[in-house]
Amino acid sequence: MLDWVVTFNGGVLCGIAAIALIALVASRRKEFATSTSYRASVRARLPFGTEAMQLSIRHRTATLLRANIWGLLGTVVAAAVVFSSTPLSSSSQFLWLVTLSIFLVVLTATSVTVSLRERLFHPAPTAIRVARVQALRVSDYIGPWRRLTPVFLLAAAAASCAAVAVAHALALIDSVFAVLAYAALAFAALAMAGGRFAERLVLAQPQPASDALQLAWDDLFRADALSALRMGAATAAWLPLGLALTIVGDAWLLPGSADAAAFPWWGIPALQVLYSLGQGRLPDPLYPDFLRPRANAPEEQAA
Amino acid sequence: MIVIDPSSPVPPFEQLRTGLVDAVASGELAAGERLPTVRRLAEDLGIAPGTVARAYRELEASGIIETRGRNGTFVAFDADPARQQLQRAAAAFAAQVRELRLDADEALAIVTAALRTSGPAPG
Repeated sequence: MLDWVVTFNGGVLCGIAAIALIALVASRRKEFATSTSYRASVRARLPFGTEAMQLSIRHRTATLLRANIWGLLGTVVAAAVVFSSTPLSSSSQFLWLVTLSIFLVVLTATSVTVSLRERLFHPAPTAIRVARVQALRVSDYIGPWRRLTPVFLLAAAAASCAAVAVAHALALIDSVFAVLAYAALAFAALAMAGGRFAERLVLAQPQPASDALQLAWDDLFRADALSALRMGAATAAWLPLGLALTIVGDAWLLPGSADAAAFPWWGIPALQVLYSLGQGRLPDPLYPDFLRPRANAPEEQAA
Repeated sequence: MIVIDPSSPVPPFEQLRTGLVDAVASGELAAGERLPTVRRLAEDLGIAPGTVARAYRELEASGIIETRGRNGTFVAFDADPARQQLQRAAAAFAAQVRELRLDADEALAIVTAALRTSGPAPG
């Protein structure tokens, strides 16, 4: 049984590495980034405008793809080191930990890093420049449920950890589980604080643009990076929440059956799916005027 | 949206100042709305930070914008108390419209209809 788990974990890890390597080779082809950028254009309802703009968008798309793949490979290497040097290799939780690392490192960190390191457009010194007159906030880029999910999850996690503290005080649970829940809560709080700091950095990045369409494309990548940051914070907040609920549930409902293996790992891919819904689109106010649906005048509505 | 044309005979400072005044006058920049930082706007528009700072200073002296310490620069509320109250209500309304993700034109149409149904203002 033990050997079967180790073989399965190792096989899946090798499979992920193989997929990452194939994707790395495929991403070197021009057509790969081109088709991805076309898909982004259709999903966002944003045209490319000029050939130069299309090139810039394709370049950014390719950079993001490559960063994601390298992040994935880095995570697989780190997971392989853990697999070969710790008893985690025989744990049924090992692949969930790999999944968690992939979501936090690959999807969150790489998109933020790329958005901080690169400018999407480079207008010539003699070109017309445009800028927004308002200072935009996170709420201008992402909707309320994406923005507030990590906050609600962290608040629920804090409340659940308080319940763990009570259960610990009543000697219903082992100290190890209580410490594990507190450590996960501290990690989630740190992830939230780090995410807020990264958001400020992303929002402070200049957006050199020559027209409203370029600004909209820049906003699109920015919105995705901000959404990825909130997804990372939500994923991190799920850890203490799931852990505390598992521990408290075990202590009160099934005394003596405390088992961290019952952790609801399904929440992590569920959050990923939830955040992927509606990704790659801009809120209406950020679209250029000519791409915004025209509201009917009061007279037309009355008619 | 502010547009700076380097090939225009109008200096960038004047283009920026006029652009901001127009944005406030047209309602694109509502009272109480925060403006970008000097550095950010300068980098976005490809002009010197001193040019943006000078435009902000001049608009502040005219009472169009105001600096609230480290919080940033904001569009000033009108000096007239009645207008001031109206502008605060408008700013709160605009924030609500954004929060609800409603279209600005649709929100304006609703306000217009509400004003029409409530009859003429007294006095």
